[in-house]
Amino acid sequence: MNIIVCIKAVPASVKNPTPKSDGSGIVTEGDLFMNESDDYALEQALLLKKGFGTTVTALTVGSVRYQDILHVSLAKGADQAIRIDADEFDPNIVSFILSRAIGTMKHDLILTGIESSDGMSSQIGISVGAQLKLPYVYAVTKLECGDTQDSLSVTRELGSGRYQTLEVTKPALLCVQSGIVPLTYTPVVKLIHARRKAIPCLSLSELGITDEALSLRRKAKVVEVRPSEKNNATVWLSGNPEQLAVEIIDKIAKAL
Amino acid sequence: MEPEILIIAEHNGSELDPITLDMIAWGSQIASEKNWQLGVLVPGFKLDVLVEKMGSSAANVVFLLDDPALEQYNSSTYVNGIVHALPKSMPRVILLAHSYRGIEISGGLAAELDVTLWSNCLAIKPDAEGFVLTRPIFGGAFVSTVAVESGPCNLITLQRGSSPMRELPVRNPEIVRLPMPEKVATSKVKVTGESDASFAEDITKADLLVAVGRGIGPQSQLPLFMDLAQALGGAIAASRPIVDMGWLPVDNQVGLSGRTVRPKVYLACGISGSAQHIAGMRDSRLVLAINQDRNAPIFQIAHYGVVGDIAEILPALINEAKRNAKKREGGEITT
Repeated sequence: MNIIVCIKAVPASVKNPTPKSDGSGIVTEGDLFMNESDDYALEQALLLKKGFGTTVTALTVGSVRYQDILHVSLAKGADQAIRIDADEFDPNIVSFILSRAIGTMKHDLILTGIESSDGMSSQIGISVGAQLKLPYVYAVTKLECGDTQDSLSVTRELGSGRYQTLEVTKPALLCVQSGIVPLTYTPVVKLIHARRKAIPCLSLSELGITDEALSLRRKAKVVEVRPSEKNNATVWLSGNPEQLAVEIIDKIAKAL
Repeated sequence: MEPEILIIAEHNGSELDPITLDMIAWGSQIASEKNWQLGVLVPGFKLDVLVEKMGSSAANVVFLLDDPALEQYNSSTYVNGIVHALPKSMPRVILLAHSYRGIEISGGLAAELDVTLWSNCLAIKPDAEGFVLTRPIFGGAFVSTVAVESGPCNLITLQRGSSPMRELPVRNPEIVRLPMPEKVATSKVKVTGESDASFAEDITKADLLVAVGRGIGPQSQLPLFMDLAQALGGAIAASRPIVDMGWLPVDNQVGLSGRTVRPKVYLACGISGSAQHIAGMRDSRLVLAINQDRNAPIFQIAHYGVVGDIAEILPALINEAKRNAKKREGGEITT
């Protein structure tokens, strides 16, 4: 079985994000990490690999700056990692690129997270599945599958504590909920070893994606980025720990 | 009637989800600015009970897609039904909830109709070229403003709790019943069961919740927060990451995928406040939040805020809570 895991590099912390001059995305600085939600998708894939020796491919869309998460995925146990060389932020465009790329690869199961911490659109996974005309499920909390079975047994969340169990025909795309499996620690030695490996890179032209095809899909511009509006009604408490404790417990006592 | 803006209603079979009313409020605002007609499409089964509730809606038309095939939610059946129910002239805007279902249906519709999808929006304003959307980014600490071309059709999903707060016109919408397509392709997703999670501890009954998030430090700190909750006579609650790490059971989880709570006091410790978490506690009567990041979204709804490391305040907080509890007990004895 071939599993493809879509992962994304996201900034660890953000200070002064600004729109790119052409509005195609947002400029951030600092280190990039694997989006936590995607890390769960990767861990789930690696767990299936342990069970019956599937092939796990980690896939990302990004410039060379985004490459390290692919090394991390190799260190964690992915069989291969591929970067699609494109610096795009709009989920309509990223899902188009991913679905084109996955369409050229062997796939029985595609796993993604449920949301990226930077763009927060939650739409790429389902859009990739729908564009590839595969069955898709969002917020999967449990996944069971046999190597030779045609279908997957899936539990998914519907919100407000409601759950559904499903039988999903392979190939399929699942967006996995965080906590589906425990995250594992990646030994530094494995990471150092993985960082020596070259990461294959696909260009958009190799995927048959022309500039025209992309510009047709460019329908939005990020015009402004600003800190979220604060609730002006928030009263800020300050002082040393003892003073704060007295004040907080006093507010609580009065409210009960 | 072929409305230019169409809302896909979200409901549980007997009640409209409050987000449907938020969507109607935004839709109504856009419709009046653009001089458009507003429609609401309700997919489901045995929808008569909802019709009454739609009666006073601000929509011009309500489409009921009422069919046994839609009794249980299944994305492919829903997407198929909605695609066939769309008016002949495609709406300029289709508005859905940014919910578990809405995320699936919108992604499916966008691919099926080959139109653009803009998800997780907090505000939607029409302008001369198209729409200006406000979206949360970077965990909700920032928002981005995105200018979107008008195009033939835009699919938009709306975040919870983001109503434009305007008085809605009360209309008596025309009710139109629509059939499901006769031939439904065999779905590759088969629903084999549906159930509610069972919770052993009922945190919704507590007057006070000490809620812990990732910012509390290592797991060894957790018993101290339990001490604090006990000293305050409340219960311990948690955000999703704490439950994902297995530190507390899902019974204690607050948020969209856990419990919705409305305690008298919600003390949020090291919780940044994702939209999913806030959806589960926004109606708490008093919210106190302690977090190191001044930009954390939890402060958008906190009545009192402390910017700092909870670990430094915690020992003093426990002492003070215990002292206060003793005082209270003492008081009860004398009276």
